[in-house]
Amino acid sequence: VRVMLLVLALCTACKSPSQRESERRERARSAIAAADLAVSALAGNRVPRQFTLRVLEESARQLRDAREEGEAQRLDSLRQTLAR
Amino acid sequence: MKKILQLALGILTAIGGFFDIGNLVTGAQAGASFRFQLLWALALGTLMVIVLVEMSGRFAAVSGKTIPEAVREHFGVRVWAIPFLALVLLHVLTLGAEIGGVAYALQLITGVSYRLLVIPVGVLIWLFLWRATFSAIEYSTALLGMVTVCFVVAAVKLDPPRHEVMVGLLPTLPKDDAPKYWLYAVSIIGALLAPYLFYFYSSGAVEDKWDQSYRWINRGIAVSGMTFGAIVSAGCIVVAGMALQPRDIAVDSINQMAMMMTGVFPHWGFALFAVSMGIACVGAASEVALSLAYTTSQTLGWEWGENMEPAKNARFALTYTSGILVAALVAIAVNPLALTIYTMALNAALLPIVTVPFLLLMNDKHLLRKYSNRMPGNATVLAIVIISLVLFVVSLPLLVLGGG
Repeated sequence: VRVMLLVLALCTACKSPSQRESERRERARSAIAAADLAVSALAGNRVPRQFTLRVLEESARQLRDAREEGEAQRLDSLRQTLAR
Repeated sequence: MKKILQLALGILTAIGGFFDIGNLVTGAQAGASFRFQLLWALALGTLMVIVLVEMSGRFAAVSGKTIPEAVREHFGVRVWAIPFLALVLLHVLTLGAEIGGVAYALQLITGVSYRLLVIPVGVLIWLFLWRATFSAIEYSTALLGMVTVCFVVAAVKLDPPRHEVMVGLLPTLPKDDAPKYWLYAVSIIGALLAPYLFYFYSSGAVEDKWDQSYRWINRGIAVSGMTFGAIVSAGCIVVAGMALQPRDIAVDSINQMAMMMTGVFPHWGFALFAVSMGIACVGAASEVALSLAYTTSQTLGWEWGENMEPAKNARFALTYTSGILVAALVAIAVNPLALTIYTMALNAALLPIVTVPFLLLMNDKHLLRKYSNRMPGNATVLAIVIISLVLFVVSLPLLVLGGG
């Protein structure tokens, strides 16, 4: 168990800042792409409106976690427009 | 003629019952992040599951006993205690993931939050198990589960580059993000090798009163059913690889997965995904809950059998009832996607613990006579255990860092 814990601790410590930055960007890109796909699917009547609103809310949250406040606000305002 | 019909039904059951939340999530994530590059993990896992399912069926058909019963009788309760506890943990986590999957599918259709739907879903699954016989559960969920073939149809319609698909069947090293690649590989294998599958299968064989004459039926079901089932999983990887990967959608949530078929089936792709996911998870949840009750009852020497009235089989019914309750609470507390990916990785990690006693039994000449394992069978199981353990260790960094 001790060896396992040591390995886990080392693994956690080993993640470089550049890796973290790359993951953050990847998550932000994925959230924006999902939101775009949900909006275009709604426009084509392929998904329910409620679903698109949920994807936009989820993507905005992911973008905030990835420190992309500007994009998160854009999705929030898009969601508010669609919710009306 | 009767046996041919049983073989056909068995294959249908295996196909319909094969696909669950684990295959869906791991397949979608693997396809969305690495396109077809992880198809090899699916192929390897399928070979492994064929071997293990064939063995568990052969064991039940020849000995007339289930695995926990035989381990308890041969090695005592103490030896079986740790594998049994590992099995209970895996069953509860898997059941939580399946119940969460059904609730999420309903959320996609109704818009109501899945957390509110978890308890009603748990109650419905419990009612289904309470009222239905083993055959009714087996065949209804399997036949409804055929809807998941839509992933294969979608994959064919998307016309993926064949060369790239074939290359994906060969193991390759990742170009980047190695921990994520190995985590997805181990999760795909873990989803295929979920212990409930062979414990449920061997208990089902005893419930259906298999004898030695069922050995070839068992072999047919294991090979054909698992292979066709794996083709559905491959369809899921290919669809995600074609529909989500080019858009940079890495599948961080089930909502993102739900859009994978909206391009290929414009007006009903979304509903088809939700229905497929819901049905696959209902079938798997029923099987996992029963498997938990089978394993517990057989370990503790209680009366067991889904064909018996719950009133005459109280401890068996109480086990799946409490299992569903605990799993529903887990499903409410933990995000279904994260719960699935970690449970599947854990399946692979704990595989040695739950497989080694089984392997010892498969070599017992008194129990299985001329049908006991030979060298190739033993070598394959040992290879399965080692590969799944190595993959798990390699993927540990990402598991710890929560990147799943």
